[in-house]
Amino acid sequence: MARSATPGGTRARESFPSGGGGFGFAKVRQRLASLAILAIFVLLVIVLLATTPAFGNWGNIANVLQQNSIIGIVACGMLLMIIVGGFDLSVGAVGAMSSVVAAVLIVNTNPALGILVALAVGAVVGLLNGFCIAVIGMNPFVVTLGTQVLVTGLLFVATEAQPVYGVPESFTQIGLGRIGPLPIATAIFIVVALLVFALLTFTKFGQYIYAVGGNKDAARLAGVNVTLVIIVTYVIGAVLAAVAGIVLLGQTGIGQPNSATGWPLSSIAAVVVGGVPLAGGVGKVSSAVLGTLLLGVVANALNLNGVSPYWQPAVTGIVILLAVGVDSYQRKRRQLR
Amino acid sequence: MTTPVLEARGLSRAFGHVRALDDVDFEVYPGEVTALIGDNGAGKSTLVKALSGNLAVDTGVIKFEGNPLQLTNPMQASALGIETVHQDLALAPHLDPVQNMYLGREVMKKGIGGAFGFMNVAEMRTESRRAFDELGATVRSLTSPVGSMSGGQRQAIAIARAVHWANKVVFLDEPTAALGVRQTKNVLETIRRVRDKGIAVVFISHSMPHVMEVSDRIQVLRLGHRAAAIDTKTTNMEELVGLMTGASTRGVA
Repeated sequence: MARSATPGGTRARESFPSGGGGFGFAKVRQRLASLAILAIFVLLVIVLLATTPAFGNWGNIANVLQQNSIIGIVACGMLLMIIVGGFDLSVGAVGAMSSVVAAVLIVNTNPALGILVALAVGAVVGLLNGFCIAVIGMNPFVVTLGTQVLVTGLLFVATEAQPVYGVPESFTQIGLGRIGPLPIATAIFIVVALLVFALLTFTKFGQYIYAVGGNKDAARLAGVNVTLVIIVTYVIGAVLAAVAGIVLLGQTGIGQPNSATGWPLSSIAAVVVGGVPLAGGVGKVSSAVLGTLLLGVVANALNLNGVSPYWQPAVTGIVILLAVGVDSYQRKRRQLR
Repeated sequence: MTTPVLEARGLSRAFGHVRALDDVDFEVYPGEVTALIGDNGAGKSTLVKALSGNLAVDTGVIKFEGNPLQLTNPMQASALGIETVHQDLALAPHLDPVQNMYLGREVMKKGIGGAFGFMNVAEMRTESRRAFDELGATVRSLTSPVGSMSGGQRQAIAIARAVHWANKVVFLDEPTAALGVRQTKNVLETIRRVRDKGIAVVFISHSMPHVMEVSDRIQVLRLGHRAAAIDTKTTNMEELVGLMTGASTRGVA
């Protein structure tokens, strides 16, 4: 078992076709990287607790959780699509579409049908994304950029860019209500995160997502239906975006066709800040959750300390560059060694 | 004479104007190591792809244990007990050795867990450990991603994977190309062990000493055609090089 056989000289030359070759302690390193983000997060929370009394109120914490649960749900889906080797720019359009579709059906029929159809149209967009990427072989950036604009356009045509009002007060429980102290939106986020965790950790399909993202050819030769894995992954991503759209409707009570435009980049940011490389093949739910919370707490800290909201995007940008920069630099140094 | 476990007659395959395989015959026998040699572009990899279901041929017949069949995909070859270790190893770098061993053939949990797609990791781990030990493969960690391991380790895993699932034929496409002296020795030792289990091994290599050392039979490809099929004991390295380059010829079996 414990045997260090390979002479150092030969090891440096070895490389692997796709994915990072050369690093000897990948697992340890990855654990350290996610620990580093966790440490930064914990440190930030401690500093905030000490310096900003308002931060520690459960009211404020619940507020932060509630506000960031939506992007967290989207980020869980984005994580899957990043692991499989792509990403999805259409999650915002899907979220907006989902909330508008749900609003229309809730106003005119009933909530159950609204939710169901909203999820179904989300799945259709995911199917289209996955089909274009896996079957036709188009680039994920181009495909999801295209579907984003397409869905948004159709949504504007269908609604004449007018918001949909009239969702009953009771429905806002989903977005604003609480189970005991816990916001319902956050409970949904927790359930989604746990489901994605189980999918990635215990199931065959989860393993195929890693295999396809790491080395498509190897996966195909081993008998994995690569096309199907990619398509299903994009469908899951889009359905989670639709779930987030329903929660959004629960928070605003209005089906806004022009909402959720920031989701794609916010959710990608959350995932990469959590330490997941865009290259595919690696990533964990904990990273997506941690990235979401970190960005959310930073924004909250700025708010509480009276910093102008205009500063928020700038600070978010700095956090992204720092987190990913440190990670990439470490990776590069390890490869040179 | 025994029936070849796998046999090809008159295989041809063209890529545009290039005739990668030009009326090739080929056969492998159970419990023997057949070396497949030839210069770059002679058609070795193309032939292996055709025989492992990764490539359709234009004309020709493939026989398995004497029965003609159409090989249309790698899964079909796997089902017959034919496995291939590709030149690029074809491992998933971010998965661990156990996950790679069982990639595409996961053992599922019994009952409800299995219905939801949950895997039986414990059993796969035990079985993998046994398979690695059987081959004498020193796999340092069963839980680290294979992308973080040395070339020798990855090669050992790829070979163990193929051998574990094959019970008829194993193709090894240049298994020693990227290895150091010690790892090469291990691989050659593994090849003998697999042969002794009664499995046919097809060994592609550019290294004549390795070919001479480990093979029972040698088939030489040149320009997409079989230039010679000879018993290893009746030849030497100079003759093999001559056959590969076309400097010498010898009756085709």
